[in-house]
Amino acid sequence: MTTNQTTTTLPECWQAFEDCLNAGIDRIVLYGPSGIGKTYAGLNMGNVEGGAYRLVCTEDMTNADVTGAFMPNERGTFTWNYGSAVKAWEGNGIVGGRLIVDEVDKASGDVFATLLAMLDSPESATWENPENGRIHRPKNGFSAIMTTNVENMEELPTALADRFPIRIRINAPHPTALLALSPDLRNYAVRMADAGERRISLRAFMAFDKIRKAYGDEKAARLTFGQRAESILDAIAIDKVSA
Amino acid sequence: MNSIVVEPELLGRRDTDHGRWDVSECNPRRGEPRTNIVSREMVAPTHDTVLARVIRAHEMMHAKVTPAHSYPRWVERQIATNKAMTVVEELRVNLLCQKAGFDVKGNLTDGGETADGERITATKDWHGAVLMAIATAGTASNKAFLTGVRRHNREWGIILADISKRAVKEMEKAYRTGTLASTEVDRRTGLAPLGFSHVERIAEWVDRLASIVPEEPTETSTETNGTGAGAGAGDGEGAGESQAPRKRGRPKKHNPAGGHSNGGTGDGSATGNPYKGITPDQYNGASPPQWGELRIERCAMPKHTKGNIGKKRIASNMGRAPRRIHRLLTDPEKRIFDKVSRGTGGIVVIDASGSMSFTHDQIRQMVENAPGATVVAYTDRGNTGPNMWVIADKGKMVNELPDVFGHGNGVDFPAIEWAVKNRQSSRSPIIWVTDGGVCPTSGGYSDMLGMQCINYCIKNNIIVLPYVTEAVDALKKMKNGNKVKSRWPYQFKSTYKNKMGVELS
Repeated sequence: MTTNQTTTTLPECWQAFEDCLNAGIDRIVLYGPSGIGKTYAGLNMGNVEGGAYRLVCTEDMTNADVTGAFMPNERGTFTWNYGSAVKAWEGNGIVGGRLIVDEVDKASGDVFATLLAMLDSPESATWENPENGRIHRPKNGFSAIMTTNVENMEELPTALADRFPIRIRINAPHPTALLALSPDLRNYAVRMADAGERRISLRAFMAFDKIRKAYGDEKAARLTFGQRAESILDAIAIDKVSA
Repeated sequence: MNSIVVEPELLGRRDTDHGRWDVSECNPRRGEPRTNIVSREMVAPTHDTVLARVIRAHEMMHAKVTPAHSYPRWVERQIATNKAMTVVEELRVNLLCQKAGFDVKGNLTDGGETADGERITATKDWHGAVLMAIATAGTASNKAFLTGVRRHNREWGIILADISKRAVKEMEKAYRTGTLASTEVDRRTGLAPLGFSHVERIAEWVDRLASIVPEEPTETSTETNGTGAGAGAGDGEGAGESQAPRKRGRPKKHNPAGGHSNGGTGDGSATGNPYKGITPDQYNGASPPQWGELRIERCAMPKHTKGNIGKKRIASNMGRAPRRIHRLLTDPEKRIFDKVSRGTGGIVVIDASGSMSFTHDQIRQMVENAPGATVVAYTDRGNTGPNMWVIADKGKMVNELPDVFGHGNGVDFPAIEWAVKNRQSSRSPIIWVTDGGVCPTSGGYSDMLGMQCINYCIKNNIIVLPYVTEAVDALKKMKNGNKVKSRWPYQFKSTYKNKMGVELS
């Protein structure tokens, strides 16, 4: 039933995401297997008139990436460079932009606390620019999409979970992303996107697709899937017995 | 050594949702690998050998094409038995594996089939032998199995080789339709996967083959066969697969229901193999014939008939209150008491399609002769409204027959099935009045459905009569304590002869 829907209708998870955006929800968590297009969707889907700004969280990340930092300029002095969160607050100057926070579960405690402040409701969220003392608030239209590979949403800290009431599990690649793949591989990419420990990412299928065009299926499978090459090719041969 | 796991998540089906599988490993031995499509569990060998790879492909093919949640519906249809469908599914899966490029013909064997063949033949388990031959057909196991069979019974070996070959041919024919591996849901019947309809059709044929046990060769034929065997000895083990069977005894009905005997030789006896005349049913496309859903309406029955509702008093020499005191003088056995004997009731099912006719008076006669009986009539009236009407029951009947009859059949089998389930007791007779022109909800007469009805009637001792007048006579006879036998309509006789190669008696 899910077999051919990738090219014709929007999968349920993506439809839910689109519906939430259309309804004006501005805080959404997208979670699920990696390489499925969560970030891509966050950056592109819905109204991103005010611009989309991405934060990739790591343990080494500092608040400079979130709010900003003084950096040396050509005059030998320092100027303030805004971080992604403040840029997203400001958007295009008229409407707020969108902040996409990738892998939020990997952020350190310090950054996490700052993020909580930046992602608070518009009435409570303020930030003072240390350069000029100006108070910034998120402009109307500011939204935040958080992505994570954590499967159990109970593991999210309470404060963060409270700020993001809508959580959507993305278990299928977005149809637009699939268009980059040869038609005969699209269904396989959809099925393997959420195959648990045996999952194969869309990127792997894209690599396989590229190599096979030059060197054939067997070599491409060996290079891309390693030990699993034989069983994957066998499964594809079996799947092809019926359309 | 490399460990190779299966990838069932890559497979797509149109009749079930996609999801994660629980995969575990086993040895490449018969009985160990298995696939549960409903719970998405697969046990398959992970060895890096040719045999393990073919077994993995076999299990993967099950995951791809074998019915999942809908399997009980196929069994409930009662066209073919569960066992027969299971073995034919093995055949389908193996053939599809071969078509997908896996060498099941050369590799799918675990070496134990020869012993299986010997054991099955030594215990004279013809039913098991046919099923095993079908399950292994088209694989390396088949040759080994037949070798084992031939060691004990050359005749069986030849017949089973022929059956295996025909089964593979039939499956190949189904493959050419392009629907053998289809996992679509049949729009008309709602059955899924559509490709399994070929399995059901062939399984029905396998059931027929398995129900006819070859007779033991007579002394004369043994001698003849002995000569034949000697002549063919140089052909090698597999030679028998393509040979026409030698002269042999007539097939003997296995007779699972009891009481039904086989009449004569089949059409194919002229060619030396009575099983040749037994062929699978064919129907257009892959969509299987389907009975309609039975919808019953109980008509108003204001008219009381003569007599009681099947109770009668008979004289007895035991009792409490003497009611026949005059018998003291006249009856040597002094049966002065009464004993109440209840009628056995019974159900008369009337095919009220356009090709049949009956009158109100005939129904009245039926009820008078069997007051405790229930009379129902059915005809297909499309997808809405009732299609079977209770027109007489427990001594009451309708004033007038409802003006609804004379359409298609559609629910023949569900109607007699209802009668069996609703009879008053296991001794209650069931009479089915039909001209044998049984038809599914759409389409014309189907041999397969005809055979289903015939087998069901034999199994459940349903008396089949072609005319209502005969049913009236039969009830009169039964009232007088006489036994009544079926008089099969021509259509059933013809179907049975075509499908079983013997007369229906």
